[in-house]
Amino acid sequence: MTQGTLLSVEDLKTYCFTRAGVVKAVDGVSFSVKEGEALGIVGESGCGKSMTCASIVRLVPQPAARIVAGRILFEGEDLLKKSESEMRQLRGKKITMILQDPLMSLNPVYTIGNQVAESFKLHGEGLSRSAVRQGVIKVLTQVNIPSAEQRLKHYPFQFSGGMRQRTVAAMALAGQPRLLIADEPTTSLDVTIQDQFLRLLKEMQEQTKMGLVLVTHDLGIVAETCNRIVIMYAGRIVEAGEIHKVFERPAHPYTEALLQALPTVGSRSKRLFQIKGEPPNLLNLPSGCSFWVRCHKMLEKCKKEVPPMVPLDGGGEAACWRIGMETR
Amino acid sequence: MLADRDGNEVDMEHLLTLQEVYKYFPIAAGGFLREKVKWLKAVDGVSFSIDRGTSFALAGESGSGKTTVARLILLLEQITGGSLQFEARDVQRFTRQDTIRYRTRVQAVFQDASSSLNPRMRIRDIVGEPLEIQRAAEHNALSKKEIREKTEEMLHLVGLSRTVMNNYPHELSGGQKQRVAIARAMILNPSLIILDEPVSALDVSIRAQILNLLADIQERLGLTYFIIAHDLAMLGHVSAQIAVMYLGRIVETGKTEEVYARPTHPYTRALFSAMPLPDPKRVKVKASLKGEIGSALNLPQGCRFHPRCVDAEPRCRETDPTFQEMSPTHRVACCKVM
Repeated sequence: MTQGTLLSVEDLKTYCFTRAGVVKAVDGVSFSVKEGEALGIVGESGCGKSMTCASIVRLVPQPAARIVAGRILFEGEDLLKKSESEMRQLRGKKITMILQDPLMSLNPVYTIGNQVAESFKLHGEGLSRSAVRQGVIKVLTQVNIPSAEQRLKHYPFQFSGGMRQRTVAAMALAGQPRLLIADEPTTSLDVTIQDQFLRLLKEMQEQTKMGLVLVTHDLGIVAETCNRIVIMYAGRIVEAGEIHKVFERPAHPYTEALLQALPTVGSRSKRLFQIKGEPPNLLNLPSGCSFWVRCHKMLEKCKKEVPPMVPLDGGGEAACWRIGMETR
Repeated sequence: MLADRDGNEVDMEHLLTLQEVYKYFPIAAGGFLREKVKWLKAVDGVSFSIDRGTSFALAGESGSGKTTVARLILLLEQITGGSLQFEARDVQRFTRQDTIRYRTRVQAVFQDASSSLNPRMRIRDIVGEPLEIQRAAEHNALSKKEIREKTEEMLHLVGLSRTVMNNYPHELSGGQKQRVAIARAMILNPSLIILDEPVSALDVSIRAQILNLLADIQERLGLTYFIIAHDLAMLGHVSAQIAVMYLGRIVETGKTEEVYARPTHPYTRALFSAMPLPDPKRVKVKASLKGEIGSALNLPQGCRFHPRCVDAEPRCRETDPTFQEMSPTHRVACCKVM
């Protein structure tokens, strides 16, 4: 493991065992996050990005889903070998998570102060009541909740969407985590509030040098927030690399298509580039590369063999049979 | 002036015109047995016209009143003041017959197709239902077979195969469901379609498909679109005219190209800077917006945007800005340009 690597996921496989068959939600995913680095995981619904996150904290919906293979090294220790009580010590403290809908993460019948205090009580054993209260006010102020002290007595319904999500962020940051996993944290927010939230997240991350895994379907958010990007399709990583490289010279046809399919002001009165078909059914994946059915650069070979991840000229890696063909 | 299908003379240019439209909702604010009503000013003096055969976009955050405007156009709410004109005729003076006809000519597609399609109906019944309703009310005399044929034609138009006819909504993907919603909106041969966040619930790869489909249909049938969304990149791609709304009022409006080339109102500029762009090289400017959208129950004095505006001056607290022309096709309501 290289210096400063915080999290390293190696060949992770998380399968769901359903009545209709085995769904390979995560099928051999590897990536790493360094300290102070922000990694964006991008993909369409059903590509396995959320399941990857759930696997890191070992909160996959059991018994249907199981992590069947791989290693998840966090600060050098394999999380998959830890006991449930050891995991509980990590979750919410060293590794925390922010989910899409803040209303799902907040209990409607407890006050904001009460809920944020919980994360202090859980991890900072033996803190006095006033110390907890001061801590809560401090984190709420950090996430720009105006007049935090008066707000302690409020309930989640009295908060706006942006404030709720910032409260969830405050709870996540209370334990001073080393790794923050944010799964579509701004999908339920307005653009202006999303912008405020992402700036806050970025600021917090730079201050504390924590690692950030940001899951989203929005390439724009990744471009603005992350250092590196991983693009997933049907349970596998198809391309990974430093963001400047991936956005300027995408190597995988899927990445290229996603970037071209975005409407922009300049694309007016032109037809958008269109990826044909729909995201595949994971129960019934095509043979070979799972993207070939929709690919605009498909080769005969793609139908038969799964392409391996290969390093690219200029950094990054991608899994496509086309790579190297055009240059050689 | 040109004649429509029924031989009436119609305004060639504007299909729909809103003039100083207001919508206030009463909110009981007093205690028990006390008549004290506060007004929630959801739409507070909005004017615009939609040109025939083009797309008009309305942008803004949630709470800006854009969906209320759509509901007013769909006659789902009654306007409190002002006038709404369709083909140069005042909607409020419509007879019952006129209203029925208007409702067939103005159709809507909503954000989440899963919740706008009845889960217990088959696709063919969902798409054919508007015609069935008309038949029951004796507004058409189509046979079952003709309705079925028309349904098939619509599904073909939106790029769905006949095989989905007998499916239920839950058996279709998100993109397919949105296509069904479009087919249903199209079957009565409308002239105006209200699209409320038509692609924001869809995956990126499917968004492009739906946007292309909408553009194709518009070109083939000469439809007029009224599109509501918060995604400025998407709106810039699809619309010819745009209006940006804030707390019940339009703050900037004009030709999309002009507004995008020279966004002038601080709120429009803030929306642009908050828009995430897929370009890692873009240098992020300082946050240009404070706090959150205010409440339409308690509007600020003067310019309603001033509490969040980074450029606010003392006079903004006093003067409610009126529209200033930047050019004949670009207007802004801000004290700074007065």
